[in-house]
Amino acid sequence: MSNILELRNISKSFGTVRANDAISMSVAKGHTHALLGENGSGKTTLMNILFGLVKRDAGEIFIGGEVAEIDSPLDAIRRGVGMIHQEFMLIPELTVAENILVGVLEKEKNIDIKAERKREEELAAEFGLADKLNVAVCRLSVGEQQKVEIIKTFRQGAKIIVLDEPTSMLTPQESDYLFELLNNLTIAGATIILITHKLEEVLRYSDDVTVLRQGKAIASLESKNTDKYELAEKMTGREILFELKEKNTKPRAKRVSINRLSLTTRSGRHILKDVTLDIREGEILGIAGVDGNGQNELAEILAGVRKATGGSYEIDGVPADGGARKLSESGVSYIPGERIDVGCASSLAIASNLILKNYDMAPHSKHGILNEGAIKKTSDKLVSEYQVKTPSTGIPVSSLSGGNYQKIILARELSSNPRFLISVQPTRGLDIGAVEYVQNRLLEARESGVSILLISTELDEILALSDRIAVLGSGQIVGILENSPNINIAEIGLMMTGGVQHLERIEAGGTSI
Amino acid sequence: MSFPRLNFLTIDRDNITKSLFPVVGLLLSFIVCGAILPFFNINPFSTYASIFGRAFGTMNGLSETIGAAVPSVIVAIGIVFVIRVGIFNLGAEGQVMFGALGAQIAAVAFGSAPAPVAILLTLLGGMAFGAFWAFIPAILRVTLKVNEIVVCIMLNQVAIYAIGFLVRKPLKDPNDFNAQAVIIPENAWMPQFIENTKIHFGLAIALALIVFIAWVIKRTVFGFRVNVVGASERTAVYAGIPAWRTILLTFVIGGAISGIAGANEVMGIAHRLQATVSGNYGWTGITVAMIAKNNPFMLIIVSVLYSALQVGGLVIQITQHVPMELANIVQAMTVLFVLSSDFLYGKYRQRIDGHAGQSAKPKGELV
Repeated sequence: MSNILELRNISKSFGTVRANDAISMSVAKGHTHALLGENGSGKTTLMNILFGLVKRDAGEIFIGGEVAEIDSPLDAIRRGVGMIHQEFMLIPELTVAENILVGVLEKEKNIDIKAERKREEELAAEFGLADKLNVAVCRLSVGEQQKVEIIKTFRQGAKIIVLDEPTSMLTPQESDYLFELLNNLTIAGATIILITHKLEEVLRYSDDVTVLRQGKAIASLESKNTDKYELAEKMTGREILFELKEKNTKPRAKRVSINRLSLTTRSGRHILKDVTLDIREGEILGIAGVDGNGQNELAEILAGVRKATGGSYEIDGVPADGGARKLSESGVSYIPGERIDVGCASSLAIASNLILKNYDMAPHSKHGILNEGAIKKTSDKLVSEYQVKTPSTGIPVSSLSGGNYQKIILARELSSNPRFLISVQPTRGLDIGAVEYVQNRLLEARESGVSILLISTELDEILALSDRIAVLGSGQIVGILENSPNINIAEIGLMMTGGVQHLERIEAGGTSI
Repeated sequence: MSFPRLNFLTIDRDNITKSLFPVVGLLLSFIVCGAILPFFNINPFSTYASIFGRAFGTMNGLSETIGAAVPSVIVAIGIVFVIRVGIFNLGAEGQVMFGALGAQIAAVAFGSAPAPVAILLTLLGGMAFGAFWAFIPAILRVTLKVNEIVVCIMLNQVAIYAIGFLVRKPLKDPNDFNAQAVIIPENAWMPQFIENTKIHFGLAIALALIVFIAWVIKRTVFGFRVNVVGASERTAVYAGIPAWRTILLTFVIGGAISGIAGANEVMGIAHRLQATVSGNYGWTGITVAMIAKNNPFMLIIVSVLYSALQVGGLVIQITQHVPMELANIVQAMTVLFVLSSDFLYGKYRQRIDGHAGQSAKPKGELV
């Protein structure tokens, strides 16, 4: 087996941080090679070095056995390396065909437009975009834009295509379909490097995997000879059990009833339309859906941060309204999706953030004057109870890592003994250990009888935690299903994208689910 | 009986390095200016000696220095407070003028009352008028989202011309040739600490204000709200803190504090409203707040030093034949150096903490 790409002892430091520490890896031609690691483990830096976006401090790159000096993306493209970032590098106003052409022109100036057009048509048909060639990119869905990026990269003559977390914005079907297409490319001779932190993705779609941890290459394995336990251990440096707490109790009486909540913009656009849901005591109701389908707005309305234009909701038969603070006092807790800007005032001390919703009540204050001692006592207690790693509660929250950040929010929101917890993307961007911690805390809250609305774009998370699953699409509840081990994931995926159109694409692509 | 807890007066430990940078900036500016002066055939040593000798060495000079530092520091503490809520109050100059107007009106109205009452009511008059002048940009900002900076700067102009008109026509002292209002009753004058100087009761008011505002910021429920809103308005809304009410109230309090500075001038120095009553203290206060990095207690040092430069600057024209422009350059250099120390501090942190985009800490560790 010949290696099309070899990286030898690549190092890169930012300040005192060694983002890449003498990393070596070999990628076999025609394989899908996964680059696995937690946030900040250096995988994107390494690939940015390969693509000429970041200058390496030391090390060598060999492409097809030859030393390759790559100082800019243009060098990389000339050497047949293409990279698809999480943020797409497309020009939104131009059509699909024009965007692909722009990519080709970056590499060569003299092209036969007609032949190029024909080539584009063939590729577009292969990727299921035949009728989109003359559509402006900004009108396409995220999944479609990604395919345009892949076609563009492929047309630039890329033999090695790097994809940075390509499935983070896709539904399960779209992910399957994407890898189907990528597989076709590898059969045609291309090599795929897949940057990911998802173990399932590695096991399911890749041939080989290189694991990075804290800037070092920890292991190179054949994907078929490993399992998620081994990968997780290599990735985090310790054993991960993947055991969530058992769900013991059966859900009890109905607690939260949401009745035809609607949100319409002034221009008449429906953000939410007649959302009707019930959540029982001790139940987790998962809301699945692609990001931007009204999830945030729904959460904000339920938490009292935003006003609905129609409908109402009740907790234990009592109408829940009157703004964020009043709802919070009547037992509604809210873990917002945006931790840094909304969930915490990042520049303020940990202690301040822990008492954000009861700073003006006893024992934290009296007659409008804060009681430092009581505040310190509360915050010290919460920090130890929720295992927040920090030297003191006086330092700003912004100096904490993502997992500890979320623990501050969890501590504040759960310690008030809520009846109803709204939780938006509670584990987004967290590492395996922190994900496990947050999820177990949610399950504990469920055990103790809290009604939980779990909004997440990670279907795996919804499936792992929820008792029932509602799918939100274009601001409407598309369907509600009981969760069970043999739940039909395909059905959920279909609901998430609004169904029909997507089904056609799957059939055309011949993807099996 | 226990001692009151005064630890809110201390500077946060994490801030010590941060506070050192402006001090270094200040010293650097002296060195650089000292290096420039010889090119104009001016001896830097005797110039600095002359500046500080004048500003601190004579009773007359000290009186001038304190006289200028007091209104500057009062304005500055208001600026520091309002900045906590995320608003840069560039309207202090206008608020100072309106505060002076309010003090003039109140003093004339209540001047027959016994001195303590008259003084209190006159101060309140100044505060009310300063607050009113801040209320306009504040209400426009919170209801219509109008940019407060633009409104403030416009209102400064309105205040200048409004006061100019008032002292020339309706409020003009008929027995005086100059355009100024009548002398206010003596009961409303600030008691002098030292006879025939500008060192008067205003100094005590300024120091008390600094302690009080520092206490409000760090130790009160209202201060807590101000801090949250200033740190992130979205977090405030999320936590159910009434963001717009907090902004409005803080801004108006800031205006009232500027108003005290105006009242201080009327009650302590001129004893009447004049067109030039603000003495530019609205702007000096902003500069002082910026140099002091919004740290309440640095304000004292900075305002005194800054005023000394101004007072000493006047005198070196005569004794050292240094043009006033050069003294102004020294002042401007100070501001530049101190403000760029912020940037240098950022660079320094970056070197310590590593690259901004990459966190040095292993994340999410639980064990």
